[in-house]
Amino acid sequence: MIDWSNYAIDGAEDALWDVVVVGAGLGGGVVGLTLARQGLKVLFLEQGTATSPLGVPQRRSFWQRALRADDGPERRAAMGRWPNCIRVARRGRTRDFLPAMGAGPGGSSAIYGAALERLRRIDFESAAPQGRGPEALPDGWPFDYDAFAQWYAAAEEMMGVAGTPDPCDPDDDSRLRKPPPLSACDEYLFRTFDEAGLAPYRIHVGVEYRPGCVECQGYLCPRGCKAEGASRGLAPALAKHGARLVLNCAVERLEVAGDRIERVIAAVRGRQVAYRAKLVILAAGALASPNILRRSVSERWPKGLGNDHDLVGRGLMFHVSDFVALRATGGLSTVGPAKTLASKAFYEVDGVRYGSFQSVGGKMARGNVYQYFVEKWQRALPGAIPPPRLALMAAAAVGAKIMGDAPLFATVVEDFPYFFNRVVPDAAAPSGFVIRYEKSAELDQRVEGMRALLKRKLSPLAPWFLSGDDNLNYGHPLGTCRFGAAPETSVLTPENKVHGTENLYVVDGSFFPSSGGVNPSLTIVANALRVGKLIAEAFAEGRFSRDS
Amino acid sequence: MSQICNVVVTGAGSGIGRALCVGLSSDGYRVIGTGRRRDALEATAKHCAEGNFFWREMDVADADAVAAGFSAIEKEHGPVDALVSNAAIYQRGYFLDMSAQQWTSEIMINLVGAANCCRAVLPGMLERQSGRIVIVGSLADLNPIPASSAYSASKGGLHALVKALASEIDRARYPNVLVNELNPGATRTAMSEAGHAPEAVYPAAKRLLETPAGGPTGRMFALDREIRLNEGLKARLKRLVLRR
Repeated sequence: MIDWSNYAIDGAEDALWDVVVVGAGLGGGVVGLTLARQGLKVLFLEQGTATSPLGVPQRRSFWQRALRADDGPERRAAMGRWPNCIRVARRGRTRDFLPAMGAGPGGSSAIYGAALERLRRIDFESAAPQGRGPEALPDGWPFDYDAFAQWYAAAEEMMGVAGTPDPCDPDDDSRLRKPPPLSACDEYLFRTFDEAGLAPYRIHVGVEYRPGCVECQGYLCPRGCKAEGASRGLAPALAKHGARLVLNCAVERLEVAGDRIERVIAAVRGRQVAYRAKLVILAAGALASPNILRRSVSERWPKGLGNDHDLVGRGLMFHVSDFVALRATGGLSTVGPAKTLASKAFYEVDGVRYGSFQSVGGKMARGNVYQYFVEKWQRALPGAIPPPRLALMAAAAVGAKIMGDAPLFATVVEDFPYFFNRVVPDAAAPSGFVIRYEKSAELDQRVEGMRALLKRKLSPLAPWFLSGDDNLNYGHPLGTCRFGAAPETSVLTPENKVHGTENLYVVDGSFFPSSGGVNPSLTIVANALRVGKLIAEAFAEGRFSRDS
Repeated sequence: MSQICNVVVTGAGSGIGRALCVGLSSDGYRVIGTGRRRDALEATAKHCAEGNFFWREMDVADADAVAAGFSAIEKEHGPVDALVSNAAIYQRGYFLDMSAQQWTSEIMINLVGAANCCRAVLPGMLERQSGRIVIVGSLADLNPIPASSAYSASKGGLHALVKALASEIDRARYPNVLVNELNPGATRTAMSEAGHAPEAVYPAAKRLLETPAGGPTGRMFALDREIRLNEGLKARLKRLVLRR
């Protein structure tokens, strides 16, 4: 495991860097590596702290969790998790809660489930307007699937993706590594899915499956076996290609001279620091990148960088993920790989886009049942009475026995972009931003439609839907700096450069003009490789040279 | 373990190793005995059930030789289902009277040798989700007698090795890969004139190899019971209450 502090640097603010990458997550790690490989001087600025998968015992036992208080921000940060609450305003109510998001090297990808799936051809085209109303934003991409396919192939090779091709996607020509054999239970599920017309396949995952692998779903991988932004992007950029890293560095804003970014202003452990670079790449994630743009106010950019048309931060999308326990699996052995199956049979049905259905990578063990009870309790009595841990633990232990290790699956239902869904800076919020989001009626309908389809098709497996109404997948924020050809409807150019600037790119989940019906990670990697190559070519042509 | 085929026993040329080869081969296992001395291995073969015993010269202290040896064994016999890491030496000598090389060689065989063999078999066991490792250990580390420093140090190291390996193998994901230590007690071999006959160790070894999936791992067993070192009162209470 890499020791991040070996690549920390003093005096980074004195140098003129070729590239400063703000945020060392999946997009930032990959684009930074691509550029460092070309011999460019790359500096990563990461708000998170040094994570330590080997230093912190990551998994607490069921009873430890029952008897002890919450982890606290420092421990969460060391475990690669977002340390503080985020604030979400929905239906006139504001709620602070701990999101399923990562922080630190690798960002959310460091703790993700490593699903690396391609979008489909239809995702690059504009969807038929399914009663979306006047605030709907356009959802077409500035290029088609064929133009992007080569970047998917490159991303799959870089991340060493394992799986089998999706039988109902004629465009899926992924070259995948062979995944380990299924457990008896998953074999049964595969057959049952197949008979139900779900066209199952082995989900595409960035897991090397080294001997003894446990797939590290939701945890930092201590062995570099999981392909994520830190292990496959940031670490090789630092160790092999001379890039450097500043941790605990919260970027506040960018200083411009006209259309050119001159300096990156950040706070490092309470001290204000300015970094200089020929080119700046924002990769702080779809919740943070737009706010850096919004806070970068100047005479030329009174509403913030790239925000002439009031689009920065807008068009925020999350997927909707319903969790489903499949109870009737006949007590078959579940010993084997955990994140295994996927189906895109309901990706688009009768012109309506739903999404995909996939293994979560876990079972309905007592920990999950407990979590379910706690959430129900908190929903029923918001903020009033703390959940009675021990009683709920005991109930969960009984519940898990009844469920009998039911495998967990989840839907990924596409969310469309709306003008009113957005993230805005807010100094008073625990993480400095507020998410303002309302579920559209058409989304509710599609979520219900997906549920009905699954209930009908999977009835022999006795599916049990765990999530209720609050099933937004906060781990998949997308779309807050949309890309497109027209500045009136997009923040970024098709090359991911902020419209109207000379040397500012955004390379994270912000650029998605539509969210698709799969996990966004592979598309973020593929796009980072694409933009990395464009930037490297521009550097080679001398486009960003300037006197220091 | 239900259908063990191939068991590798290191240090098969004498003592406990030979007795285990005899017992396992006559119970129908396909045993591959390894050791440094060809003539001793041939002698073991004469005691074993015909057709069920094979031998191979191998120095466990030599990591490359171990890797090559196990890959040759797998090529010839198929996957190694179980490993009995038994090879050990005991050179009596006061610490200050032993050369550095002599002292180190004992650690290399007794401790590093066991690690070398585990490294060779564990990846395959984890991939197949099935395997047993029994490491023949000793409690010589608890109260070392004079002239046993290298032996005691190596055997102390084995306790930690067994527990550490077990801690890195997820119980839920790999319930059928079990690593345990067997402490045979005083046994009449080249190492000791007192104690029971080497054949007396076999039933306990067989029991550990045949432990079903989900059975104990990372633990130490004497011939007739489990040995728990350093178990405090709290841990003991917890074990008794939770019946683990």
